[in-house]
Amino acid sequence: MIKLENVTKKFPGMKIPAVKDLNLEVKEGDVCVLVGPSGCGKTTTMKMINRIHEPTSGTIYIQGENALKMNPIKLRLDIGYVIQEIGLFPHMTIEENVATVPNEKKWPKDKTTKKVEDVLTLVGLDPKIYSNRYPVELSGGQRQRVGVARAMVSDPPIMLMDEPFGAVDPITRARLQNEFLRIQERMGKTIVFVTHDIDEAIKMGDTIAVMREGQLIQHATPGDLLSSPADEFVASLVGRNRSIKRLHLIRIREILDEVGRAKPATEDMSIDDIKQRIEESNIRSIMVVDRNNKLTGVIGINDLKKKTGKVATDYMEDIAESVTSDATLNDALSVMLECGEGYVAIVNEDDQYEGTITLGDLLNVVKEDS
Amino acid sequence: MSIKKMLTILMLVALLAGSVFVIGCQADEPAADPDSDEPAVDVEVVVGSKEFTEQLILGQITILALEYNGFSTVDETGLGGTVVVREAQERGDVDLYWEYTGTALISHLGYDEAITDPEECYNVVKADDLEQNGLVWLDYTQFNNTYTLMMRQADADALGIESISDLATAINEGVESPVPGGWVFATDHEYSIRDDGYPALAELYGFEFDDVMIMDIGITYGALRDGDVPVAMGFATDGRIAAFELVNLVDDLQFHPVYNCAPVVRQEVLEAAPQIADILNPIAQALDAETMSNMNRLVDIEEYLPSEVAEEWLKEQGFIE
Amino acid sequence: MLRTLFKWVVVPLLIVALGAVIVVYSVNNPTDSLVARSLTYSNVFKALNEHLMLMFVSMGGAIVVGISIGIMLSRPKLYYLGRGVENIVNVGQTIPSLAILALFFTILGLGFRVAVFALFLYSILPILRNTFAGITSVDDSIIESAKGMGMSPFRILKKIELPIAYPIIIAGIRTAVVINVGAAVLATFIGGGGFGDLIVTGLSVRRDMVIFTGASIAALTAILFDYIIGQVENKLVKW
Repeated sequence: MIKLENVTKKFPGMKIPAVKDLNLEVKEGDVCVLVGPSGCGKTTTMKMINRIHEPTSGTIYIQGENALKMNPIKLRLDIGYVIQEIGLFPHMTIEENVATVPNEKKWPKDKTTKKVEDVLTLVGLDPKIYSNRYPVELSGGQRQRVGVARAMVSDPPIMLMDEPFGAVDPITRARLQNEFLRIQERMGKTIVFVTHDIDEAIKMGDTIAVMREGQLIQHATPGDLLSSPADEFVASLVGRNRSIKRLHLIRIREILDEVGRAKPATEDMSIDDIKQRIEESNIRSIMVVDRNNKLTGVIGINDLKKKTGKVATDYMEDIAESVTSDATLNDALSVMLECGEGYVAIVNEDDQYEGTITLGDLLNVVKEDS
Repeated sequence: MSIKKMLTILMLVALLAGSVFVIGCQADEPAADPDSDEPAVDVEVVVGSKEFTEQLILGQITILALEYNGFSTVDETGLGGTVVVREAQERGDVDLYWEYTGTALISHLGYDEAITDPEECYNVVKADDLEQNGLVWLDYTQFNNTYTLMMRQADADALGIESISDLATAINEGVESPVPGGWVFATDHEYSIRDDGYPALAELYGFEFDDVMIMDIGITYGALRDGDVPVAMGFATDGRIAAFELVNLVDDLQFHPVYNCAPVVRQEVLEAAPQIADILNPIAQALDAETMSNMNRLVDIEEYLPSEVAEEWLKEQGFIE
Repeated sequence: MLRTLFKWVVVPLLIVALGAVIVVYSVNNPTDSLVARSLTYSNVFKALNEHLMLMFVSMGGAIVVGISIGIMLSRPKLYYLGRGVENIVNVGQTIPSLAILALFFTILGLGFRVAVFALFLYSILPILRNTFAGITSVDDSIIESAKGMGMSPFRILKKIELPIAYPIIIAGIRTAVVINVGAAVLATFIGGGGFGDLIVTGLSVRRDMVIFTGASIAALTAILFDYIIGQVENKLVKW
């Protein structure tokens, strides 16, 4: 799909080339993450694909065609592009921002409007609320979403993303990453993704290309990278606690069937039944759901002692944070550490209860691997 | 801050203030001319002038002559327009400046009719100004720096225009203007509107220009020379009239009032130092039109400083050495 | 609707009406014959007409030339030249308008056209500087994302750079207009006409009413145009 052959980029006035003799192939539908310390040439590499930077030598093929011989404007219209600073146009509404590429392609107006609405919904922004707002009125996370929506609106087969989730807080970042992966599962685009964060690389990438000083050190799947780093540099990049990094690679749903199907209590369940359930469970707590299986709270063993009442709702505490089943085990671990609990509830997109993962479950996964 | 430091600073300030005081006192003392036989006079004369060349030269002549005779002076020459200088004198901020009889008659003393006889005009102005304002007019000069209408010598010769009446006739008969743009008249702001200015002139002579172009007084001569306008107003003694090959149109109906020039001194100053009259009267009598016009030319065209021209002339005439 | 009417019609009309009241009053109540001769309707409207012509012609040229040069200098290839020009412009701005007028008088002579030319040059400066500053202040990331999405340099200029720079460019035009109306008063010294005829005549014959009429109409003209351009700015900038 995307193929870089002996690509070298030397900026005028610089002694050392930014990218040196690079060969890289990204298969259709893959997310290839370029990772490395700053100044390693990863962003330059990405920006040569849509010819923001022209290679000094070498060839770039896109779908078998020599990209360097194509009209750069046409080339870029079919490549989604998200940069770290997002670069939303401050003088345009969200709708106008997202409609940039359709307008450049001169789509009919109704098609553009519909597509903009679809893609805003896809990234989780209600078009009714956000279409006519200006970028300044949005939070950092919302702007990132608009940036992604703008890149995807014309359904380009290829997307280039330069640290697209770089400028938001860790919790929002994890959420955006998960949402993006969910969208990507459906869309199956070919994506070149640049990050300096190895954890993000492991989480997002089908393959990871590690770069240093303009050269490609290793291009492998996340699993291979973790288990057999090519050299000292890669090894130090992925770090010593590689088994914990594996938590990035495994999604909760992959292990949920084995470990997490602890039955919840219903809101009207009697106190005796609840006591029994809690004692049976290894986390000394139980999730409570309503009639629609929607998660409403949790009862810990201590709540039973402190409070009085007849049914579950009398003892129930609120739940601070839950995760969806497409989050990684690492996300689950983060939530546990943050809430100071040994468990986390798993819900689907509609907040319906799917199971519970415990710290013990995570430890077992790490143990098995190493 | 320590007390020692404060004391030091205080002392420095005191020293500075003291030295300024001393310098100030020195400057206030009359700067007696060492070459002069006259004793230093204990009167300080503030000499003012209007802002055009002739006034600047007359101001410098006055300063040099007074200082040569032992007066100390303050140079306030080039202060502003007629009204500004006159009001400064009435307030007592200026002791002496050269005024024109016609200007004083109409502008300062409120006469409606101009007087065209120099002697008569001078006598009226001299009597009234002393009585009403305590201002003494010393002897007046020969030259009459009245308003004048000018044309280029070549144009005037070609069209046979010598007087303002000739001009009026030419315009009324539809003679074509010697420059493109028609019969446009270049004038300064004051003349365009004042009681003895263009509106009354046009009425008396019975003609009107196609357009009036108002501009700074200094540039009407150049505008005429460059052919921007066919006719311009100016002052009769201006050095540029000869230098630019312009010609004064004869005021055959004697419209323009006479503007002979004389030093005007505040009465109390003159009483304190009556020598001022003895110093300036012979100078005024020596100034004729040719002399004045030549000095104006030296400043306007040859780019000498007014003080250089004044000094040169005073020495040549033997007023100073 | 009412608000729009108020902003675009009522306020400007009020300013014009105030000017009209001042003119009608001073023409009909001259303090003496000199004022009466000076303040006639024909003199005032001649001054107004000349002043507006001085302003429109010089501003029109300055806007076209200032924005064009500003855009040219903001192109990446000329960027460093632009920085240099910006400095020269900043220095040029410190030259008093009277000096500019005097300079062009000595080179080009006198009259309306020379005054227009001097005003034109003087008004270019803030417009050029603000256009350059406005365009170059657009964040690189915005330009890059526009480029990356397949917009041509011309489209980026038209759709992104200029609209984002509008507030700054218009601020430059506002500054220029106010400076222009003020400096146009000086045109009278070289025979350029305008309200300066009234003001300087009033000064030379010491008639406060003539000075006041000329100066207040000139000031109201500046206020009116400043207001109108401010409204245009508000309309253009929604974000």
